[in-house]
Amino acid sequence: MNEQYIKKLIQLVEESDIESLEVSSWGRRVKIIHRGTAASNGNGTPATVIQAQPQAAPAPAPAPVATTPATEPAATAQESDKLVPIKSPMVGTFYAAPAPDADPYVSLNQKITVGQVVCIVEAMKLMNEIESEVNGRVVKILVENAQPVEFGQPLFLIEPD
Amino acid sequence: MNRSSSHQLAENLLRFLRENTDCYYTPESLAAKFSVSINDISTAITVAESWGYRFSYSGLKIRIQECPDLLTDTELQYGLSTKYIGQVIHAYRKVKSTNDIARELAEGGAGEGTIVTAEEQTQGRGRLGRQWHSPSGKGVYLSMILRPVFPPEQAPGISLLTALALADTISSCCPGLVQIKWPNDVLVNGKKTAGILTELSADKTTINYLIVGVGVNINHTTGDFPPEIQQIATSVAIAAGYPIRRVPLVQGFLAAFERMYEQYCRSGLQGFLSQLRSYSSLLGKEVTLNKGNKTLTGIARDIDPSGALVVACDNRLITVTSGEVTVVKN
Repeated sequence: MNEQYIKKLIQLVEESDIESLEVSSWGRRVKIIHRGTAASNGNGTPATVIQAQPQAAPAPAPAPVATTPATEPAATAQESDKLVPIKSPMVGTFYAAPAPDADPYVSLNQKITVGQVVCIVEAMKLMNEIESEVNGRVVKILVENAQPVEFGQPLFLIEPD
Repeated sequence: MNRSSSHQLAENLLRFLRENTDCYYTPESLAAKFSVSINDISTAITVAESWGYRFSYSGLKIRIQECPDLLTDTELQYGLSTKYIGQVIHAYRKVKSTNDIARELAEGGAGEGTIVTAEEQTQGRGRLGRQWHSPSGKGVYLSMILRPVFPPEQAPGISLLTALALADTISSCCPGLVQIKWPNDVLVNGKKTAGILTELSADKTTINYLIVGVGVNINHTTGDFPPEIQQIATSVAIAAGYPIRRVPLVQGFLAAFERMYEQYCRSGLQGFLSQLRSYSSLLGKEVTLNKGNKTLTGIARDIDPSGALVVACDNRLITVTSGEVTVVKN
């Protein structure tokens, strides 16, 4: 998680409608809260907020070398650049699941395959099932359920196999 | 003769008698025509009677007297004036959902205009998995497969177009009572009568297929609806005051849809805006809508050429393309 990558995330949040974005990678966590939302939360912060904190790694890190929390393996940054976004093909409303009480189509870290439905974008009651165009793993879900999305807005980031 | 071949014979026999309703046929001549025994012909006639067909006899000679109001291939094809919509029909007695069947057919390469009908849906559904109550023989449950060449971002207009074709068709039974609640609920006397579920399969630039599912309450009585929707749902027959034959209604809808669809492929919604506006139940009304996490209230002003609803809200105009819009009750 290098500076360039975090800058990219900030840009992503600023360009979209989403309120906050939380990203975990290799035991590090960054949360970016959009300016408007932060202000309305009453903490008075006038700019996009970045919260970074070390996080207990949910699984043992596969790297054989012990890494300090402050330094990231260079490979991670390069991998981040390789992430493939799944974008909305139309203006509409994002639905993560086929029905309000149903499980979401995909969840974080899930492996997905080409053609697998990852979400629905609804416009004028037309339900557009969005399919993945790559095999890989869902590393980021960028939109919350039932939120409006714009044409071309990234919905997911996929780490391709 | 086994069961499925007697069904097949019954269908072939019906098709023949259907085309020749003005004369009577002897059992011998029918047996000779289909190269079967006279016994097989009697069995086929019993099968056809079990489907609701009624025959009239002149001595031993026979002809069709009455056809059942079934949404089958045999019934729908007579009097259907379309070029391709409904020219291939997959008719079922009972399915979970016609949209699901249509999708499987589309995945298997079924062509544009192929339709799926069912007398009953056990898991008829609307948007977001909401149930569409689909009792046997009362309604029209139909899905169409479309393969348009326009780009995916033009697909949502098909929702409005389908509603318009349905509204025109239903208006033939109960003129002046039909409205469309943007984008695609068809109301009769202000209550929901038809729902549309459109599902798209596409990549970034190309539509693979579009499934347009239609559920219409036709001959439901109030008691046919579950209690929780009796106040908000109605049927064409309730509004018209007499039972409706579904077959001609479906044929009329398919023809209206095909005509509108061809125009939409050429020139979008432009030519339909005045009809969409005049059918609209929302224009001029105070409405609420959800934009992000906020609920806004405003006056519905217009339907724009993309099909979006234009709402005047705090002195500015908002273009609404998705989500729920509801009229504020006074």
